[in-house]
Amino acid sequence: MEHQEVKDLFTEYHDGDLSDEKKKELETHLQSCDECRTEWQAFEKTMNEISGLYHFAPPQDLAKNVEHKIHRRSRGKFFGKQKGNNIQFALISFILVLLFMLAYLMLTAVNEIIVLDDQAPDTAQPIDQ
Amino acid sequence: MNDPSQHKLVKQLQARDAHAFEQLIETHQTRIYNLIYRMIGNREESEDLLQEVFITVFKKIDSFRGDSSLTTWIYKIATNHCINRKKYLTRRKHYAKSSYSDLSEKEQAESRNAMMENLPRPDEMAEGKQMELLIQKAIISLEDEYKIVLILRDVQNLSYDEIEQILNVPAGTVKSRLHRARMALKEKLIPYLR
Repeated sequence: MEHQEVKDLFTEYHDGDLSDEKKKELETHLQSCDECRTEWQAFEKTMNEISGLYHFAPPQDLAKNVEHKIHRRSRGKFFGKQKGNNIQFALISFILVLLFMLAYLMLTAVNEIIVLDDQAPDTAQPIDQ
Repeated sequence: MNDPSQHKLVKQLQARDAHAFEQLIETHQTRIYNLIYRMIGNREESEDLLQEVFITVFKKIDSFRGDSSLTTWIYKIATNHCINRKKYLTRRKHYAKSSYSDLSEKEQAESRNAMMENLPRPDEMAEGKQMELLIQKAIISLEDEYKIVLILRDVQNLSYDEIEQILNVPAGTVKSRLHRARMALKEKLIPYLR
């Protein structure tokens, strides 16, 4: 086997795609040829480094952001529930604020009635004539 | 389309089912994000492009005929987006330092060599992250047709069949491009390998 022929087979050898005969021929050459053996070792190390590359985590909230973009670009045709949810949220918030205000007003009114009752003259006392 | 669960998912997607779409994103986001990042080499651009890939999936799902798996189809969309985005960035000169497509072949080779020469010497490099960065730069410096095959096969671990379908090129072409990509990468990394 020529040097170049050996080097041309590195990928198939790495992937286990060589026939038994070719594989044996290549291995025999690698044992006796320093140049090709050094090249093969560098090839193997390169493959190891690539297989050890990090797999990065995707950005958070990807689905939400994609849906938001589709909603915007489709002018509200798709993923409209986001709008619905916003309206619902606003409505519930408004009702809650209203209820708090009513409760506050009622409490204030009750307090005023109690104060007025305390300040009112005792009607049971006879009128001084 | 032989896979019944895929058939059901596609039907749901074609009916614009939000839950099915979220499930699709959840299943594919990591693989597609890493493919894009390895191709583009820039986090911000990759994140934006990742969104565009899924928007295209949403828009084009009606044209999915099931000739390949849904995953292969998404990969196809992602690789097309990567190639188009790189062209766009090159035109906009955003890629002044790391893009080669607007240079002549000789200039491309000089630029690639310069990139590798600018990296720290092996004795200056610590393990781990620097090696990761070094490999990423070496991958980015490959020509697109070699880079994409290398990423799909050696980083994403896809089969030759899947790569043929994604790139729409014959098996022989995939194998020869992969071999040239691996050999080119080895040449770039030799000074840093122990």
